[in-house]
Amino acid sequence: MKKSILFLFILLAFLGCKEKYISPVVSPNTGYLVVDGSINAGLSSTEIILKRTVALDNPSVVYEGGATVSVIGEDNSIFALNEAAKGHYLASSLNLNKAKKYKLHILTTDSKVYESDLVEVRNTPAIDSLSWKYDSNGLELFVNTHDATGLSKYYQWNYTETWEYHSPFLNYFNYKQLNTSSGIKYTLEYFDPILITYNSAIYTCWPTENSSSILLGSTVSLSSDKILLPLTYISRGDVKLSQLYSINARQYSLSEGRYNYLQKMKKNTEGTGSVFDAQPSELMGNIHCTTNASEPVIGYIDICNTQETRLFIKNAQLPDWNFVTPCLKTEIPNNVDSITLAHRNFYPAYAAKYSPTGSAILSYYFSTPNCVDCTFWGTNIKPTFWP
Amino acid sequence: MNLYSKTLLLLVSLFFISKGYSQSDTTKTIDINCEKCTIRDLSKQIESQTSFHIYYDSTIFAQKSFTYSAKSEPLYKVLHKLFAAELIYSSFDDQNNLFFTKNRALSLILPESYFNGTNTAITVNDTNQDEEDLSDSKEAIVDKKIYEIGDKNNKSQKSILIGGIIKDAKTGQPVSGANVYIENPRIGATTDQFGAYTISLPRGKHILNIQSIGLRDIKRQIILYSDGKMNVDMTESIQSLKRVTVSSKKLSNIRGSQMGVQKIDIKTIKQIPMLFGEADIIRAITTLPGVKTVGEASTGFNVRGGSSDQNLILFNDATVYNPSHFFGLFSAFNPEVVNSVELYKSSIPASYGGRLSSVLDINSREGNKKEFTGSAGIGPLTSRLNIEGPLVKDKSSFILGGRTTYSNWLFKYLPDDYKNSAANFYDINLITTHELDKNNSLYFTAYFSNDKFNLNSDTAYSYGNRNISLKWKHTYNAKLNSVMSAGLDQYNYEIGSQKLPLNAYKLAFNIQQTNFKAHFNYFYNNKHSFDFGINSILYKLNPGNFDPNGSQSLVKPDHLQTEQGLESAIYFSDHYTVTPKFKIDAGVRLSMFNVMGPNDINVYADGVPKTESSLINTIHYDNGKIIKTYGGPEVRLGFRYVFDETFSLKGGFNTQRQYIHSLSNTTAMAPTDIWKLSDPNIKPQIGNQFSLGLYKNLRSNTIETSVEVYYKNIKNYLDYKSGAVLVMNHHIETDVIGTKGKAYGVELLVKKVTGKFNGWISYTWSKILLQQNDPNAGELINNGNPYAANYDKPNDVTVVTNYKFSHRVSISLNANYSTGRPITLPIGLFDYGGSMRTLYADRNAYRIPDYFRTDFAMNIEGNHKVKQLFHNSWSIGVYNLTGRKNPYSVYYVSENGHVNGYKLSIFGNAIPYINLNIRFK
Repeated sequence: MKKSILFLFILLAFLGCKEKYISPVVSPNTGYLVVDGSINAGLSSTEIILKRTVALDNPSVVYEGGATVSVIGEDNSIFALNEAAKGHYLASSLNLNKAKKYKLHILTTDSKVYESDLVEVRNTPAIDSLSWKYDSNGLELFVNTHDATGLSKYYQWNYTETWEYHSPFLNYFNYKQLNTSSGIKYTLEYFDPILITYNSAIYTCWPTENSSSILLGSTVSLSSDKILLPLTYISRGDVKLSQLYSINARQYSLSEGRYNYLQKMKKNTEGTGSVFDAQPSELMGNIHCTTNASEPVIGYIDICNTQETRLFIKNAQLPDWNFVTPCLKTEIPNNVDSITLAHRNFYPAYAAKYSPTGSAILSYYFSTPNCVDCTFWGTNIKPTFWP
Repeated sequence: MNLYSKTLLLLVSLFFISKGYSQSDTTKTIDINCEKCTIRDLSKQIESQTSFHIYYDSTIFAQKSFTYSAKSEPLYKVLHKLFAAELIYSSFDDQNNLFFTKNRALSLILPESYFNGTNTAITVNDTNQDEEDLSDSKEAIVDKKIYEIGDKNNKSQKSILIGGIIKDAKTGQPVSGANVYIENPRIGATTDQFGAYTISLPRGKHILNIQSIGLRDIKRQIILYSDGKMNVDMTESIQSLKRVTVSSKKLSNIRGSQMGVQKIDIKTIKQIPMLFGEADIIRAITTLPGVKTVGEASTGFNVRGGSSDQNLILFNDATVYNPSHFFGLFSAFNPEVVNSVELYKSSIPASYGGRLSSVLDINSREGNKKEFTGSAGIGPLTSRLNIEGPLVKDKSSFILGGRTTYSNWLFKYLPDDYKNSAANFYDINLITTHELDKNNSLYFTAYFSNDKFNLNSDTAYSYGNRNISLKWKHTYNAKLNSVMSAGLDQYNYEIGSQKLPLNAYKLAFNIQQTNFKAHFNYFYNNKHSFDFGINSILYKLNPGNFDPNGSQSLVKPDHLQTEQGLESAIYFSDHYTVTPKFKIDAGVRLSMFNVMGPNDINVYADGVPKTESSLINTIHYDNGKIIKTYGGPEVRLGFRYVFDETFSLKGGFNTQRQYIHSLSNTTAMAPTDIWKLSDPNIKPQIGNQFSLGLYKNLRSNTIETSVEVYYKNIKNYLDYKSGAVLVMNHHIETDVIGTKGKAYGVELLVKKVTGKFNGWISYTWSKILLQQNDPNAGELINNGNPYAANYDKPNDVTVVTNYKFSHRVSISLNANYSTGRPITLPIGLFDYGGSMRTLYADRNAYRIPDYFRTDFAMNIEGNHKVKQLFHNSWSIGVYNLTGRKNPYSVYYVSENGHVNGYKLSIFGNAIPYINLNIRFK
């Protein structure tokens, strides 16, 4: 007995060793130019996004608008990009000469010139397939690819996940405002008083999420240019696979330089904190400010085409996925005061109890709006690629 | 020995207690005129001519009368003549009290001067006699025997050399670090790790004092005629608390000529409260001034602004490359087999070399030569078992010790990042000693350690040390002895993953060194003692083998080329006693490093940074071919000046060269850091250190204080370029950069060594700055400005205290405060690839919050009955008593598109522990 108490005591000692940290250091005003994106050599569009670095305590995206952005070939061919939205510079299809080298040229509104090194056009091989493995913990998605020419060697992926989402509670009722002598009150009315159906517009939605971590792969240390790497992992029971799930993976072939640059950025920003992780270090890209050589610029420009592949997975393909909604419903009696009170935080779902004759509703189920209205999670417009 | 001579011995024995600087002595001449005088008359006569007060029992002496007359005769002769036939004894103390007793002497201590010129001593020992006679004698505090050494007829020799071995009477193990000295003139020596000492004394009579911590002080009367031997067995000081310890001679901090040497014996180490109650040598070392660690989970330690690879860690002369288990939470040395630990941080003896900062010399115990004993320890994470005993009684012994862990449960309670981790380690020590004959001893040490762990991932790590060494100690004569040793040291690690079948890999690293050392010590005379010898180390390094792991793996085997190098050194040093007050240690070590083939060496264009694009040629060298030779003299200078018995000044100048480097861009020294030999592209590191220290003892030498200052500069210290790849890099020289370093600091130490309450306070103020401002060498770090090294912690205070309530119960409390170490914090944010990310600029420009920790321990010994089979002791304690969440690191990470800052503490709470130790026979 004594022994077990002692052990318990020791065990308690190890709780909570990682805490949030807010730097007391006032970060300097940097405002360095960030060049995000890569040049698409093929027929699909190129998007270069210009941003500025911000202070540590101000995590906002500051776009750099009004710049003149162009791709210049070593043969002095010039391809202009147009600013589609603030900071987003687009070209529909550059169709570059694969034998030539190109650079990115930027002229900002403060008359500074930024230029990348001349880079080669790289060819991205097609993704062979996306595959998945399902075990008791969850679903792991893999990308399979190879390059028969063996030239690619360095890869980057990003992906967009889309899934069909059904609101846990059907919405049959809407609030109806009443202007009474004692102020504004609420009662409920049928969404469709004629057919008595639910609001399908807020029942099915298609939330979308983009990958946020840098996914890299290399076959340099392998005997053939062949890749089978995990893209993402979804824990069992996750909402993403509650109905139908789709992932669209994009593959880029990278130069060694960009691969190393992104690897460093990944180490600096995603792979820190463990006892054995490397210390963060400065990033040196291939874009330079020609006006002021000492000014740091974030980004590394590469030219390649994009290859994409989409995969669908149905909930039925994953036995015992066991998605359980975290949503809870609450029963509220059908009177104006109760419903008015519920209006502050809840949204009506469906009738809970009827009078014995069935003619009157005695109470309703309510839940939080995001459990009734799926548009909280994503668009209710079915994507074009959705089956 | 007949009755008469026994009587005579006792009779002439006047004693004084050890404090004694008596104002009066019995050599003072007096006139005596006695014709049947009473004891009272006699006393009056003596008292009137000396400052003695005489005491006697008048009832016993009432009937006695004395007859003797003399002019200008020493008092002792007078007393001898008066009392010889009467069985009357006289004894005096330092309060000028002279006692006359009948039949029995007052048991005080012999005055060293009393016997001058007399020939009444009985026990005779000379070099022709087997000294076993001597060492068999069971020691009391004062041995009443008088030991005659040498040939009585040899009257020509003025200065006589004696030497011998000091052993523990109970276990037969040699006692190292014991002080052997005479008081007047002050001449002393210290025993080496084999318990051997050599001391040169004037011809004649002396009291030889032998002192060692934890053992009874011994005083031996010796008469020296010519060179000879004197072996002494010391007994354990069980009574040490009851006796008033008068420590006027415990002056080694004042007297020693080396500065910056810290010695901790294992008893002290075991008192310090330690994590999980496991006595930890490396952690004990970090409580000393000038020694720091990066944090809790870090392998190694930093000495005076040196990186952790700049410490030479020797376990019985074997180089241990990784001194830690379990991410650095435990040291790799089993406390049960360790005898003493010495850290040299400024004056490094010429016999050591190859590392810039320090030498940590860990010496094992020798096994019990008399009987089989053992010990076992049971703790929350580790258990250990040790067995020792004689192989041939009194001649050879062994210790076999092992430790292992069952620590996996711990991970469930570590931060989430480590939850699915596992770790196991073990270490095994085997130490055997064999005394071939009185001049030859053999020592064999084998050490194996192994660690296996995975850190919440599918990547499995393992690493291990393997060391074997054979040492032969030979005594040519009393003046010259030698220690020859040869050994094989190995360190290897392996990383493997099978998670992704196509990419499943094994990465193996291995370093092996074969070494040979020959060390000679020649005691020329009292003024000069020479150390000289040669060292040679052949390194074979396998910097990395990357291989497929499993049948599906597409991993292309990639083997970095092996490296080979030969480090040799020849050294000579003189311990020169200019005057008793002024002593110089002057040494020179010529070291040389041959980079040897087979190897393909990359040649880079001159004057531009080494990058893949500046690679102009690769030259192949055949096996054994010398590619490049580095080398040069290393100076080891030290002096000591003693102002008085309690105050001295020491200084030193040292140069060091280091030909092997560990490459790391992690914060702490990780088990997976690779080692790299110097080659034409990576130059050896060179360091110089100036140091100066003042040492003052207070309160009858029970309190030692010291102030040391140092200034160091380092050339070619390797730092990494931004985003360096250090693993499996075929051109590692393009990713590292040689920097200049300078370190300086002040170290204060106040230490109370004796008494119920003992311990020390150390304070260090120090800086270590690195600089890379040569654009031709590669990228400028921090625009070429000096920057703090990772382990720069300017302020550091350590308090170690111990209070003994009784023989059985003691408590210890220690506290440590230090400035937070430097880190690279982000200076801004940017959005890239769909996620906010951190922007970094200058290296190590900020610091993590300060570190503070208190630990408490209570040690409870079982009963002290000597004859019982099992002796139990408990240690109970709390690590990090205040539960302060000391940050190990602060980091920012992009998670789901957002940047979050975290503070990681290895131990976020107070950690109680309990440990049971069992000793058995």
